Amino acid sequence: MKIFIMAAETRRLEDTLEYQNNGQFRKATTNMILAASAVSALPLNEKVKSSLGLVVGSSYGEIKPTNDFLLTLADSGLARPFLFQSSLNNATSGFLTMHFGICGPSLTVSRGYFTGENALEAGVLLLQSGQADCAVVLGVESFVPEFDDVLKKIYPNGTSVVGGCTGLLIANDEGLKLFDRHPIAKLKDVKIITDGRKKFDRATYHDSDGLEMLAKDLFTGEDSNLLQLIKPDGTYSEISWTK
Amino acid sequence: MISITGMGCVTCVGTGPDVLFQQALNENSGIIDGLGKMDIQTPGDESRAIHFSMMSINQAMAQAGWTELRPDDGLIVATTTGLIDIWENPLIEFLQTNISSEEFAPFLKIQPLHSLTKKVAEHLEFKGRDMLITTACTAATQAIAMGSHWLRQGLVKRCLVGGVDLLSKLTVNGFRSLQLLNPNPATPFDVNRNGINLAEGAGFLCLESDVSRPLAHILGSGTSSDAFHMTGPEPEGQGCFRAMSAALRDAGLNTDQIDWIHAHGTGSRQNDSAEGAAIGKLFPQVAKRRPWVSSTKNIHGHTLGASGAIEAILCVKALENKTILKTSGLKISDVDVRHPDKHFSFDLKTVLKNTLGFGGNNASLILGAP
Repeated sequence: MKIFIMAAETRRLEDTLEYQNNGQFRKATTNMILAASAVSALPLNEKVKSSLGLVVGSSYGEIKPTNDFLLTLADSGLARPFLFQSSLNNATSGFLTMHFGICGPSLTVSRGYFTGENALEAGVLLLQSGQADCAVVLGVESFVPEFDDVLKKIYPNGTSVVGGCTGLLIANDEGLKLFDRHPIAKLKDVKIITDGRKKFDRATYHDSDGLEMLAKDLFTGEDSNLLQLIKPDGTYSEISWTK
Repeated sequence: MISITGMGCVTCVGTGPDVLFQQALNENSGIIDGLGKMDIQTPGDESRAIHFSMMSINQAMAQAGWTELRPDDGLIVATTTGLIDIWENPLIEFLQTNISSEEFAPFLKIQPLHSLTKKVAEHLEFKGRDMLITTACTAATQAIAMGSHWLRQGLVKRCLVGGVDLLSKLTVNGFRSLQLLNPNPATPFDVNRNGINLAEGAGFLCLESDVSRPLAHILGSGTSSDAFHMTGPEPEGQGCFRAMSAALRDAGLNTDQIDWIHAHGTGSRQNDSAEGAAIGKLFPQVAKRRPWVSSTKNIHGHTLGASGAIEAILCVKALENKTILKTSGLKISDVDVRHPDKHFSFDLKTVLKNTLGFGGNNASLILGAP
């Protein structure tokens, strides 16, 4: 079965000011805002939505509501229901299904450095197994300022990322018929290689950034590509595609 | 054909699938003061989530005759809170500025949920394909479904799937804040129900294709999203209806080929009502043959991300013993489904297992006798 990449959108926190100032999103978490901003730019027509799955990849999940819930509980003994529901690791997925009316399969995955690639693998499987003909695949992470020093100790070579999200829209042969546009690329393979090591010269502590790197490379104009992402521990992934 | 060849679990009613099934038969609830806690000591400073997972995995692999997890096998773990017993208190201490960034760093490092899978993989010396699914209460059902898809697509030779969840400050106080907790053993589907019982537990299953002596088959699975509310199911159960319908299509079965529905049946008004409506719509009174419907959460409680695996294990034991279990605690039902009023022997061929989760997730699994 062929898998097509129909669109790719990347958002950083600074790109989402209109959402942060929108009353409709006042209770949304940072991950929800980042993800909603990316998904809203994907070409989701009603035909596509009728056979659409969703995979959200996030390594750290919903940090801020988790912190706020536990700190409020410890300081005042008060358990705040809204913070609890937002602290769940699949809260962003739930929010997106409601906001965009996605009724197909949805799941949230977490796989450390390979979270973005793992989400893409899961999205491809949704299409290959016939559970959906199109899928939104997201990698999203956001941190809080109080963790800056801690993260520098965990990832000494890391580049600070306050928040980021990349969303891909993929389709199988049936799904392709639901679009009035050509695909950007045909996905060939996604491989996660944890039993080998390669030297790395850059690192980031944005664990879901695999999709962001892919989105950048998709628009560089190369006809055939292999993206090799080397992780801070030397393990790596390979994503290949043709235009 | 995807089959289950080994199973293992630890729950608040004891260790192992046989004990779990016997406790359900005897209607011995493990719920004390509204919660299902496990009184099991862990060695050293190991996470209880890892310990309970490995206990379950060792049982499952021994039954399946697996001596190791090979590089071409797969591992899928489901959870909502991962290693929370290790990081929750240090996180609070750090946020209250009682410990430094340096002291907190090792705990933040293991906060990502995948740390659980990584630790399990380290115990098993496994470096093959793995995945961590965190889709609230449907997580383990999705893990079983994902494992069977991996096998069908030929991505792995065999697959170890399951889930684990612990009681924590976050979950117990969170559910309490939603006014969902019952101080007594839950009474799912009962008109006088009074909420749910949170519990801890772990359950793992070994999946293989085309084996000669399976415990049960995974005939099909289906998942859906409500797109309705973060913590409450769509009241008419449309999402649950779609998940069950998708599972039937995947299995190639008709509604009259389902013998028993092991319901999510938490004992919350919203869940029971939505799930009951979905079952009533898919299996209406006018149908030639309506399946029996039960929940066993009165016995083992609601183990959140692990519930789909633990309850699937109970379904396989029911298939093996050709017994349909009743819903303990149920006196007068307020949903339009067919409840058994006692456990009884039945030539059980198929069980449909439902799970519904926060975030509007629904997942259904159809298990078949070998």
